[in-house]
Amino acid sequence: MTTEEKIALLEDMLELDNGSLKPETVLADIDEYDSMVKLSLIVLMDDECGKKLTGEQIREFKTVQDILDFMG
Amino acid sequence: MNIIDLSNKTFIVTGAGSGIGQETARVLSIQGAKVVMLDLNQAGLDETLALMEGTGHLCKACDLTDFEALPTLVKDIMEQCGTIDGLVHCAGISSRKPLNVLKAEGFSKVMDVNFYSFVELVRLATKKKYFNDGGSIVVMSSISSIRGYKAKSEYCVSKAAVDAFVRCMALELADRKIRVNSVRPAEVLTPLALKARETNAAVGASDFNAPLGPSDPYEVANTIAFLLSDATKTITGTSILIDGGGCI
Repeated sequence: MTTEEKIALLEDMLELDNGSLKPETVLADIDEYDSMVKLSLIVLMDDECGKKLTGEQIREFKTVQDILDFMG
Repeated sequence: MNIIDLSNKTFIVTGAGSGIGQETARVLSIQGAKVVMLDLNQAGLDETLALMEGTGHLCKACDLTDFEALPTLVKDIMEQCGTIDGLVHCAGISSRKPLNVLKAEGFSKVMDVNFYSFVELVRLATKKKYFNDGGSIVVMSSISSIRGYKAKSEYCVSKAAVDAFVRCMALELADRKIRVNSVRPAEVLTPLALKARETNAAVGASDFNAPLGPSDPYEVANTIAFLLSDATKTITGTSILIDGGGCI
């Protein structure tokens, strides 16, 4: 999966327009990044990347790049 | 006099390798029952067996969602046990999925474990040659069957299905004096629930808070033992809340 495809997945999950997210976007600045989106992120990582994401790892995410790095 | 005397009775307990299933198997053995313990996890079954009182218990590692294999499994159990007096379905999985990641296949997985495996076991195990008249069936429901929670659609639906099935089976099996009930715990202090608490804390989701706090697994197991016993012969088609007053 390319970086663009990963970002598109995240934008779709957050219901944001294409091009809204950049790797350097700070997650705390995204209004839509709430508890339900974080739970969705756990499912998305499992379904799309085959990776188990823990609550503790979510806490450590600061920017979109951190999520992209986790997606591998 | 012990009103929950289960001596000379045999019960199948699913999900017996951990959590509420493990505690249920242990409590039933304390009350004198022989227990057939089913679980995916052999190590968990071994751990449970070490906690049991009495002798004659049986462990079988199996996948209850392998529906083609279930008839053979039940036949094997009955060949070893003769007949049974009850069934307790504790095997179950949870899920946390908000609307935007819900898929039919996810529902299928949760429904297979929490609901369809129970349906299959009831159908196979209650045949007259296997299941004694006057027996009792108990299944794990949850307050999720009657309340809504964010991101728990799959789990809530599966438990509501369980309770609907309980009511129907209570009527269908009443002629044989077989009772069918469920228990509806809220938060129970199992390893799975503690992990869910950690996730809630990390993502900022709220926990269930009951006036009396969460329940211990033995409280659920004790209620199940009561429903299996001859202390009650007319409670059927219902569900007992074990919620610390959370639904008040």
